Amino acid sequence: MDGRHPRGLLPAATVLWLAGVSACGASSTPKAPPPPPACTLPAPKASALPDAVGGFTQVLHLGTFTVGETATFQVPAGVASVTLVEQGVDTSQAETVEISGQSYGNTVFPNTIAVGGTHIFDVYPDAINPPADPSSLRAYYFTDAVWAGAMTLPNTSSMLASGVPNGSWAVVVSDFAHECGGISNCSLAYAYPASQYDLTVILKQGPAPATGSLAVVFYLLTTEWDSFADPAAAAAASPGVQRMVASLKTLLGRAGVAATATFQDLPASVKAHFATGVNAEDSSPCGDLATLFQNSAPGVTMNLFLVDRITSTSHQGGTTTVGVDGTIPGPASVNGTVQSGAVVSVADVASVTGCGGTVDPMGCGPDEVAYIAAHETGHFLGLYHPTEFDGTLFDPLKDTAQCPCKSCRPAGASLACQAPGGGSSTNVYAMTGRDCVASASCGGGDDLMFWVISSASAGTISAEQAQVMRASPVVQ
Amino acid sequence: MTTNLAATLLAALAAASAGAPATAPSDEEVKGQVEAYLGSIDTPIPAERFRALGPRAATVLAAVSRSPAEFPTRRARAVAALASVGGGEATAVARELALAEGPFVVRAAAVESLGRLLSPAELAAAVGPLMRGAREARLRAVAAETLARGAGGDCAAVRSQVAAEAEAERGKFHRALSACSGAR
Repeated sequence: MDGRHPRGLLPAATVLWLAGVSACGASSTPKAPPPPPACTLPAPKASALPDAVGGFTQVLHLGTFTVGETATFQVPAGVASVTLVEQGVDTSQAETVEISGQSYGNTVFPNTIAVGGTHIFDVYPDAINPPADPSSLRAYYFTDAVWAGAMTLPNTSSMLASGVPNGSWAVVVSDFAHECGGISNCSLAYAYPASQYDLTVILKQGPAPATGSLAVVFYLLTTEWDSFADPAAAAAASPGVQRMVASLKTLLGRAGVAATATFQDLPASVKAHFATGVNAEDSSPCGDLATLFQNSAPGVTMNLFLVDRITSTSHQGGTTTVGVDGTIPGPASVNGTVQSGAVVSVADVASVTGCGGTVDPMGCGPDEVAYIAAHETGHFLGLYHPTEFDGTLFDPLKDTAQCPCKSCRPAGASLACQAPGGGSSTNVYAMTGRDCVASASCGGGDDLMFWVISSASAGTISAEQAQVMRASPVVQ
Repeated sequence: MTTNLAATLLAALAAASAGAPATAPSDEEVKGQVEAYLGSIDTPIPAERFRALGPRAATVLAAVSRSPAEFPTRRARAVAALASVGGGEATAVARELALAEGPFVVRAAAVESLGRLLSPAELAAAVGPLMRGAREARLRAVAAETLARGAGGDCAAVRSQVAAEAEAERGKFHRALSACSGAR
């Protein structure tokens, strides 16, 4: 996913929500109070950016808002980007909603965003039923984000072209639990209180930068270098890791982002906790990813957790992933939250025999790890897959090539294309890298953010993708 | 708007109920789809997708699983998928990779695959020795977790192993113990 739901503002529930058959919960019998959370949920964290630089106020602490309330703030003209970071406050608020018997994370999102009274984002339909090609939207939001979430604008071609609108912004804070009444067959298991979120706004001073720097911190959950007195130093000195870092710099450099790398070992107790793997599919705020990401130290950093093994429970027997990002985008500069980073499998970093002069993620293990790291960094900075695996959903950028299944699936293929807006049939064709470098109208297989690493992977980053990446407050 | 919403719902339901493809995928299509699945960066691929490709997927997956030229993560994902697709080779490949010295990710995936392929008695016989004797504590922990989660959960053996572990290693077995707690 990109993370846990590749395109997931509750994707499976979307249709049900849109069907809008009935309100939920309103007439149900009284429910019991919620049990305490399974872990100690983190209190809101602060941005590591200074509140103001040279008279420009860049961090706005708006305080706590109950879902349904409106947060307002002023955005001056010429701002390069606006980032909203929402963090849960009340540990008794809902972590999940039940829809048709299935549990979904209680994702936080802005219900609407208006500037000067004009909506630039409305969760219905911009996030819940977006067009297959959402590049014409002013703003886009499609991610799992339980307990903490973020949104950085501009993230669509439309707003990249027009610039960030200035004036009085009004954001209605919401989450799925709050919207449950509008979702068919939705219910809450307990009598949860209305959720509360701490809202921080980060403004990036304009003009939009042509280049930037990114401080990458590699957190070592891997035990590969534990036999050394200083595992972090040993990792940094490892030839495979050095190659990985060099390739990561090359890939991010294509976006005008100059990366620096430091290594930080994690405590033995944390390593022991995750000794058999990190479960990437649990998006709950007490799950593995959330627990791990809270180990990120305060700073304006891209936090990449290098792990030996990523696991899942429901997908056992299928394939797990080799990377996963907390949310799209991540809460840039706000570390220590349940979403403050990405996980990258480092298991292939010692496979150096195929390493040559160019970045080769199929033949060189360190390059593959670098590719995964750059891809997850792209998600954290706000990028989506240009074409999702089934070839029916596309990112909100016009200059990334698309690879629609209906026109790019090989003529002789027997597997059918997924119906647009459909569910999750298992018998549908998955777009391969080869399919998506076949012609001018079937592209994107070479893109860094394509869903699969293949022989077509070239680490391509489009101009608009680079703009989105550099708009993140974590790129300085 | 309601009409559009209903149409979307119907399309989704139609897609979700789609059956097997009209014609069997060619060898090239099966290989291409398997390669794509194994190359996924962060999109989880459910076991059902591999099964939908039919038994010929097993041939591709077995070859990737066994190939030392492949990256460890690809081999690990292949053996896990192979256990779902099944076929005559699945158990043999998983046994072979679990027991042979090799990358942790590959061995761990193979051990977990055995947990899905073997009967409780067979699992205890195959994975029990790994839980007790594997050189790496984390692999012993994976074996313990697999035994704990297996049908009938061999939790007495798991608890005995944890008691025998050095203090510094016991934390790695917390998931196995949690699985036993859930089972009892």
